[in-house]
Amino acid sequence: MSMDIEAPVEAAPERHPIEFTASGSEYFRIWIVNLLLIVVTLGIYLPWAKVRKLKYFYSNTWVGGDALDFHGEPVKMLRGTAIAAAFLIVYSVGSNFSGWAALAAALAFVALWPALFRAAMRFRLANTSWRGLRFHFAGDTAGAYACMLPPLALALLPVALVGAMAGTAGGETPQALPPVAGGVIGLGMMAFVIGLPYFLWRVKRYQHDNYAIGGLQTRLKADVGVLYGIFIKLIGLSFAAFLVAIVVFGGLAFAGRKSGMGATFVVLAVVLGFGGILLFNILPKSYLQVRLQNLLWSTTGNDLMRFDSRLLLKRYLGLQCKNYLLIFLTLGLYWPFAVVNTRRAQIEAIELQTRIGLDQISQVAGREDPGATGDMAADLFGLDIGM
Amino acid sequence: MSTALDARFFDGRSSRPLAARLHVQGDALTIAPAPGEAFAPLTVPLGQVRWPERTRHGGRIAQLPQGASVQALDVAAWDAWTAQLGRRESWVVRAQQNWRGVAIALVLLAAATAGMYQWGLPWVARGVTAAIPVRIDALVGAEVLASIDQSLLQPSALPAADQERIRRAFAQMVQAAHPGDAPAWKLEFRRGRDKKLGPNALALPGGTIVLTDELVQLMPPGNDDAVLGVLAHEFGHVRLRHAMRQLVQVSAVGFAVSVAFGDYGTLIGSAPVLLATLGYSRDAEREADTESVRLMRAVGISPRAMVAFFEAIERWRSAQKRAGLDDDAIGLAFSSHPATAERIAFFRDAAEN
Repeated sequence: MSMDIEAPVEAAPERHPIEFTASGSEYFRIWIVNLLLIVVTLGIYLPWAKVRKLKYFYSNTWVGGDALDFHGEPVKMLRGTAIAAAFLIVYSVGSNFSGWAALAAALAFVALWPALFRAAMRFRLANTSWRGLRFHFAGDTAGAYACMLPPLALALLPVALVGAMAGTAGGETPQALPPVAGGVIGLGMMAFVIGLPYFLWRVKRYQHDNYAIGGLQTRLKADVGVLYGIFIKLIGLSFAAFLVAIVVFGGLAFAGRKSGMGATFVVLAVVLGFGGILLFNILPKSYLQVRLQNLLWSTTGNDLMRFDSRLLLKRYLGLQCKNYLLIFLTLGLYWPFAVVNTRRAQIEAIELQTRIGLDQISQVAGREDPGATGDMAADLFGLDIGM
Repeated sequence: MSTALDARFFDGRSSRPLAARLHVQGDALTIAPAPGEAFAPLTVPLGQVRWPERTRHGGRIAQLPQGASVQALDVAAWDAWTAQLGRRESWVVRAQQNWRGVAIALVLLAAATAGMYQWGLPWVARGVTAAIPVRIDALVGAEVLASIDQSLLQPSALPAADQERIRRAFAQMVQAAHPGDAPAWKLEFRRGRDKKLGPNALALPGGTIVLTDELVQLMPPGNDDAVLGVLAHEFGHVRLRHAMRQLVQVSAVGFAVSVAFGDYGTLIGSAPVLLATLGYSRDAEREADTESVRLMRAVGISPRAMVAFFEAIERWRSAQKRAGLDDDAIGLAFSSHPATAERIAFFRDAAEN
């Protein structure tokens, strides 16, 4: 094990850029062929498509001059896909039928999700390699439940519970919720919103504390106070966006009443629609993504290696505006290009700094082979595990 | 046999790259140390090597058993070297790597999607609907009724005697056409909250048929033939479980869209909303019209009653338009499917034969 190499802490660390060389046009080709095969095989091709996509992205991610590789085997992932799809179907169909079924579905989701999330992390990292060494996710199940159960329960259960009770008690004449139930939902939501930065910090700490390669495991040193600062600024930003929208829309409504409608009205509506999306979707989302990435990745590491992330908000925001506009204009065909250029912006903003030679890391534990159910479930439920 | 290729070898235990020389002899790949490097040469059967696929961008890493790997120093040289090994690339890779293949894939994708939507989807929906217990239809139906009761409907003002007369005549009609094999149904009288819904009828999942007072009052009093014809049409939707089929189809489309763009969160929407925003397909309407004619004939009502009804409803619709009101409040509702010439002709022909 190479941990015993004592590096002089004062010496400047070695810097290793992270490069992303994928191209939008090539990912477009992979995406189209994947889509065709998924449609033609009625979804059975999903794990093959996922492996092709990940292999392409990984083999274009160069850390210190060496590309990553993905090792998942589609045939083995097929079983996980089937389990995850069955879970999704039972969940989405079940929650539609009655209040109690929705409550049962929500309970099952809350009870299973942390385990699935951990399984997804373990699968993804155990199947990712760099310089011939596999990564490893060291988080345990208890840790996953400890950080995810409170927010999941706060967000999902009050609504489901009250829905179930209203569904049965209402009977003949469905009526407004009793004040107690409204209070329960309100309190749950309030606790969830106030606690959100803290919950997010807990989940991120669970993730970033447990990445490992060879004998090196990362730690997250981010302070929860900084995370609260980011969220408070986000609220301020949204409020400012709201004010801008009121002024602009109000002014235009006033002007519109004077001049009546015309062809310019249509153009104006499109511009306004895009402006609205920019103000209320792209701007806050980009702000949060940029600030979170910079905070989390700049505080992840250990004594021998750490990361530094400097994603610039202005450039990232411009990129996202361009992406939304082009996806809209091409009816979705620009989507793979947008995925690639977003990924490039995010990855290339990160730098690896080491106080240990890149040649000096060695595998300590035996190889593991976790199942793919969690990873496929994360995909199917549209939840980003943040890799 | 072959020329050698310089590459980097990783043993899977250390991050230290080893300069290696690859060559293939028969069915085996040998990884030997390059001059100046020292490690035990490794020979692997070609069948156990997991070769990387060719891409325009990106590195090349071949995975060997026991976690070892070889990585390309020069991607172009690697591709040239593996090409002369005579390994055939999968047709997927070849399609992905040229624009003609991708263009063909795009056309096929469009065709497959259209085909799926046209034939595959109804077929799947029929199969899935058959697999769903009828009990569930009733649960969904009750929820939809509760929600439209709150938003669009109010209790009927029709005299109880009229309600009873229509209900009895309809029961008789169903009994005559389907002695012993009719699905469960329930007739609910309601009145629209505003002028939008108007003369209308709708079939909910689970067999509940909602009939508005305005529809009963649209035709001259004392003659229920047209009302019964409309109810028979709705009964067709009930018997063939069209509402449930529609719900399954909408969910399937949502699922497909999410797979393509990787956003699956929107799938978990609410059924009643989906159901209310989408109408039946033309095929479903045609099937229900056929059922309507069958029921009317079973009790000796002329399908011509429906022709008169369609004319009356068209008059109502143009009056609505003049008043500046739209009538497409609910997609499933009877009146939101315009009485096309085709449908009128269908009932006229049925009356003559």
